[in-house]
Amino acid sequence: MTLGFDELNIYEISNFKQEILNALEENESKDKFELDFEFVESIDLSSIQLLLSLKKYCDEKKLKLQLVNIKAKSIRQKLKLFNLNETLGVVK
Amino acid sequence: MTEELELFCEDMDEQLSIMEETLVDMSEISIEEVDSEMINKLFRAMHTMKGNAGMFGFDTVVSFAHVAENLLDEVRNEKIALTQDMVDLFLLVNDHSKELIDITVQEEQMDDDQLEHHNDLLSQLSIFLGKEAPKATSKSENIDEPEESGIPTYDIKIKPKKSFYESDMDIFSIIKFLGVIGDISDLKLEDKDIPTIDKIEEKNAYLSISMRYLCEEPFEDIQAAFDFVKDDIELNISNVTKQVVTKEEEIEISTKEEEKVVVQTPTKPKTTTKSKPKPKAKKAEKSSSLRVDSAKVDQLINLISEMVIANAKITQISNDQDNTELGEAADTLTSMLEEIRTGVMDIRMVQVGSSFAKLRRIVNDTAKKLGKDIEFIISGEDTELDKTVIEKISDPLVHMLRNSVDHGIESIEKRLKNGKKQKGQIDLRAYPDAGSIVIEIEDDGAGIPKDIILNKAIQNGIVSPNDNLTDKEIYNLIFAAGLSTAEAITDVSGRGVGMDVVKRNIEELKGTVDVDSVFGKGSKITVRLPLTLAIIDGFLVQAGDTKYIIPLDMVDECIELTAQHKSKMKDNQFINLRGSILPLLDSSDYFETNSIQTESDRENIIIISSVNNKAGLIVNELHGEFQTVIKPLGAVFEKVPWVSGGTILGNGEVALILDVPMLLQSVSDATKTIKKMER
Repeated sequence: MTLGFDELNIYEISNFKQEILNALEENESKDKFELDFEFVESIDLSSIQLLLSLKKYCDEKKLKLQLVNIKAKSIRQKLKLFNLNETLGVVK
Repeated sequence: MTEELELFCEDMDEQLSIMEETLVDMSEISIEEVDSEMINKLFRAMHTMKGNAGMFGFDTVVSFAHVAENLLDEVRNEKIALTQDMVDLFLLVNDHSKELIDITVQEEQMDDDQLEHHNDLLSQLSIFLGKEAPKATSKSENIDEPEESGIPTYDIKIKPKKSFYESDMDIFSIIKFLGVIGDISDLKLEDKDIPTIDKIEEKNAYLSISMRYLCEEPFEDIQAAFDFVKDDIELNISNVTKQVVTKEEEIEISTKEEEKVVVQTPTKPKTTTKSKPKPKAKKAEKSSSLRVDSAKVDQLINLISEMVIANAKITQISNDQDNTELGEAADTLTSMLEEIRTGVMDIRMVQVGSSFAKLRRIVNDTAKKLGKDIEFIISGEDTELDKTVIEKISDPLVHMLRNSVDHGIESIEKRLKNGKKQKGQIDLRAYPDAGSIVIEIEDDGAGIPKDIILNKAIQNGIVSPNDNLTDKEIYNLIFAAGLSTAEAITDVSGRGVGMDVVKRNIEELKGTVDVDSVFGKGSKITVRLPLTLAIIDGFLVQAGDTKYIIPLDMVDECIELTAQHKSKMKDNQFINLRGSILPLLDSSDYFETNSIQTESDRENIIIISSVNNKAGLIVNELHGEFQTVIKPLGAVFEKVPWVSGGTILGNGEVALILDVPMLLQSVSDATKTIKKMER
């Protein structure tokens, strides 16, 4: 799923969650769920929290979560800061 | 590169410059003279570097800086004695840190050579520390146990309240700030309370953040970082500093005892401010300055330039319509614009000192490499110059100084043999002079061997054997392309590539370079640079159908070309100005302008000067002072002689800016040629 948000923040969090839930429903792969960050330029703590909750969901459903195409350095730095690359399945 | 990363790079540059400057200072005095403030300066810079790198998760930089910082800490606590070898090592550490930061920011990896150098430096630092070297890519040292460094250590736990996200506060900026005033390690997000995505109330905060934090700043400053979010979080800061005890104190103090500081802030009405935490403690000494992206200042200058042009248009309209009221308003606007312009230009002005400090290192290193003993004296560090000019002049200065060290200053043996003192001297001076900044590099070395230069120039076809060159002209041949008289090509200089590039670079900055020398006594290179490259005070004149701007600093006076002058001149192209004979240039001949009927029959002479050259320029009309926004002429007009740029007048017409130094130089050259031909 390619995310269509420039910024992932508290103002977009509900839309972000809904898009993920929709995508999870439509997800054809039985073992993988992929989020494409190509167009996302920034992320805040609420969205990181949502990604962690997605990770918990994926773990329950035995889906492998992958975050791909993270181009924005600020996002990479924040994930690295909290040592989340492995947890959230960041693909370099 | 993100704005944060750009700021990080700027900060790193600043810290590395402080370190380099301090280390060069230390290397120039005896070890006994090094005072504690110098060591503290180094420690603080290394500590800040480590903290900032940690904030971005640049682990390799952090672990490297950590070892260097440890050694500095031991030195400042007088546990390890400082040695000259250590100072040399720290200079290498400084260089490598620069390299390491570049590599890290570019997200590259060290190559084999860099890695070997990295490990070698770590080993050398560890030898001084009396410890084994850590692995090159190892992360920062053990973080589970507080270090016995005596630095206060805290465990910080931040639990955002449920509604935290809606306050729109940025927790990352707080963490970033903490990283600036201290060292963060073991930063963790506790996610055990977060529900799965299908059950989560996405606007509620479930997670918490914990970290180990080392910070020497007062406890209140750490607390103050959370001032703006204190109503929206539960904050717990525990002091877990492992006490450093002396044998005498050992009995009385239990090292396992923890002093617990818990800050549970009471709930208050929610603040609506969205300000970020303000940096306090560490940046306090810089509170009077503000870091601004230079691109923003450039943009402001461009806007002011456009306003100057627009204002010129208003002035033109007021004149055309003979509208006094509009004219007065335009005059007020003109003087206000001038003040704004001066203010904004001042922002761009930077003291040359920081740039010069780097040159000290280069001179010292080159001298050491060549086994020469040189005293490098800098003066006029507080002279201000446009930031762009400073950046662009740096490479030419490096080249000229390397040449001075390599070819100028003789070997110790040669100096002693020639009755000179063992220590050679190179002076680097900067000072303002007539609207320009002059930078001089003077050495007391061997001087330029003019016969060798001349022969080489003849061999290379740069001049002909029949040219009767003055000494100065011969010296200036060192700026000719492909002319090197170095007996040995070294990795320092001597390939004949460079001085021509130096001259070209300086001329691109609308500056001039000149060399003077006395064989056996030394040489002096004088660089003259314009104060700024954006807006100048000009004098508007008209020659034929073309308008020209002459930089006001280069206008000495204006006089009328009277019949009396003409009769005295006869057919000569010279004018007698109160006893001084000056070349007289007719602008219509020089610039091949079309003559037009002007309002007055009066002909004018403008006396223009630059450095030691002076001449009179005949023009048709004088329009007076004009705030001139310098616009490049583009590639098509690049080769037009004696014109350095263009500007737009109030009526939209383009006026050309005269390159007075080049014009006067060509007159001087032509005069000499005539004299030679007459001989």
